Amino acid sequence: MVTIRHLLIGLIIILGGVLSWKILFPSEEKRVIQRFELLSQYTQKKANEDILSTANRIQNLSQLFANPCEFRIEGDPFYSFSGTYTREEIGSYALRGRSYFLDLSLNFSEYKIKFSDGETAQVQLIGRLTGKTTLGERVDEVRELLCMLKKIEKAWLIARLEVVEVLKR
Amino acid sequence: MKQRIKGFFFPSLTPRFLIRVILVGSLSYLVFGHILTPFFIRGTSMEPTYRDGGFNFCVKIRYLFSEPKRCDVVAIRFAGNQRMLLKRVVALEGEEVEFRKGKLFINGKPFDEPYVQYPCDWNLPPRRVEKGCLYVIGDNRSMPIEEHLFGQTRIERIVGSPLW
Repeated sequence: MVTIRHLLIGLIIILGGVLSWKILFPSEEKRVIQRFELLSQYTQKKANEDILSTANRIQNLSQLFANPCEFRIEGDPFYSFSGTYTREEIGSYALRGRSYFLDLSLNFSEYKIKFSDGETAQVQLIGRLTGKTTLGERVDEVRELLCMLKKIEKAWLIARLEVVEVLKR
Repeated sequence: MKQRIKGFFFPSLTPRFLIRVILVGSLSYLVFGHILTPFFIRGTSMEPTYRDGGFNFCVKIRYLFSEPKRCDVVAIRFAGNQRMLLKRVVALEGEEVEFRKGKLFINGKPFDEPYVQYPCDWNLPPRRVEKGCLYVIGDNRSMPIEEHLFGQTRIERIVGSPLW
């Protein structure tokens, strides 16, 4: 006879199955978001970071970008970075950029993802950079970003990154 | 008395109570999600009018039937609705904006700004505000011009203005 206990156990098994499925086989949208979560993770810097950890982070960070990747960061009072760069160049720029900070964190939110075909994704999102520079200045900057990701060998790679000019001088 | 207190904190789940909860929840969502959105101020670009760490509400229906005017403080949205910039409108579309030794000039004429309290030494060559845009600047111009985020923005990006 089926009791409430059996029903509950059945429900838990189904929920567990659905959860496992979601974790093991994430949707394309989730895969795209994961790339930005990784970018955030590798960009993060804590005080007294050792050289090995830095090298590892830079290596992993550059692998998130297509080779080459186009950057368009113009008209920004703090950063100007435009052109097409190889992974090695991105790595060296990231290394230089991180060296200005004692601690650094980059967080992404408000994702709007559009898949134009199975291999290309347009992502509109917000990036928030917070940290403390080596000069002791606190930094807290928010920018709107427009990215294009391409699926290359089953991995979503950032092929284009643009900072949207919300305020144009 | 004890019974009333208990009834207030642990009400019995009657249909009437559930309807009340749903109504209060829906109304709160409508008011605080779409009409008066609460927000915290981060940054000093609007000081001394709005202090870093301050709290306010964004009135999202302010520009439902009208356009922002000069000197209005407006909230400018990024992608999504969670992050906004708080700036003051200084020029409207078609007007020419310029800074000379910290003084704002609109269409070549000096413009008095009582809300700017800190010294400013900015110089900015004249530029015309494009169609469908407004020129916005923060009240705190004590920092170098390169470090201040200002300029023209599309009117569609303006989501409202602070309540006070």
